[in-house]
Amino acid sequence: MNLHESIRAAILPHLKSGDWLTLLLGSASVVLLALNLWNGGLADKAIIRSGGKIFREVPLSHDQQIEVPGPLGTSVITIQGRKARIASDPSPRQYCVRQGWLQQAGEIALCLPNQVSVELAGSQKKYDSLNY
Amino acid sequence: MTASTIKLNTTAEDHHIARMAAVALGLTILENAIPSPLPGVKPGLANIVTLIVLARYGWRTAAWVTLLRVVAGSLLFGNFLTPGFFLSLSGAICSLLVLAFAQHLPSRWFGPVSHSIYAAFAHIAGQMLVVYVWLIPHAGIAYLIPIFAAAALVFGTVNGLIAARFMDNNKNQQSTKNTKGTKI
Repeated sequence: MNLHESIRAAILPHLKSGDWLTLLLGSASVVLLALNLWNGGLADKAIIRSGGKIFREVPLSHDQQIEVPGPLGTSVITIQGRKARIASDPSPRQYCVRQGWLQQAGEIALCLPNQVSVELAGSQKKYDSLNY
Repeated sequence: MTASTIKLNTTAEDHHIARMAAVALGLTILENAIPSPLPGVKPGLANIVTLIVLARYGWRTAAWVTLLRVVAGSLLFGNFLTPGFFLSLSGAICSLLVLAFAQHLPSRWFGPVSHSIYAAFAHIAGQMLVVYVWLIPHAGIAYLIPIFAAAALVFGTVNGLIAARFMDNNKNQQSTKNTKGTKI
């Protein structure tokens, strides 16, 4: 008897039809939980802020480039294919540029030195504020 | 001054419950030696004892054994009345409540594996409730629920299989040797 067979012999006799049903229900609920809780929802628009004030709100459906002025210079925001990113920014460490594409509602890229941020929002906003 | 002794009158059933709780405690200690990738994800080996006791001696005995194991275990590890203790307690109470219903599932179709899976999900639900209400009242813990649920499914299945296998082996031994009830 090889290993595979002995594992089968150890497991299968102890599973009755209801147990299979329980396993199925359990797996389905794990998958449903993961789908519901790990999905941030689709984003509809990008909220662009400069100096703490809303600079523009743009829909993601329209591809475009937006130049946002800040204290250090101009940040360039690209919107393409329902995604948004900060294409260039004068900030020294380039964190917001390296963050790459934002796709889901609630995602945000901040260029603190230039006081520019892009936040994606869905039809409804999940949080009033986030703090760390 | 005369020395006074306090004597508790114990029955054979009390001894029996204490013995099984001791076995569960041994498994708890064993399990604590196993490193866990994520705090809170544990196999819950002591629940194998709960499952076997439930199948053999009924819910009341299983509840005694489980609650004794939780309290005595917390005394051993020194976390009695700490958050960790209340997490174990809430998990244990929730799974016992679910087992009270699950044990009435028709035994023709449902075995210890089903009991174990339902109890494991109840366990994690009870714990997440305490975590949310008391320890971390932030919606962010929802991100961890799928991980805990997956762990509950896997470990619940494994524990149920171990319990079912143990009881089958024991039944076979008993029928061949025709010995009197073996102790666990």
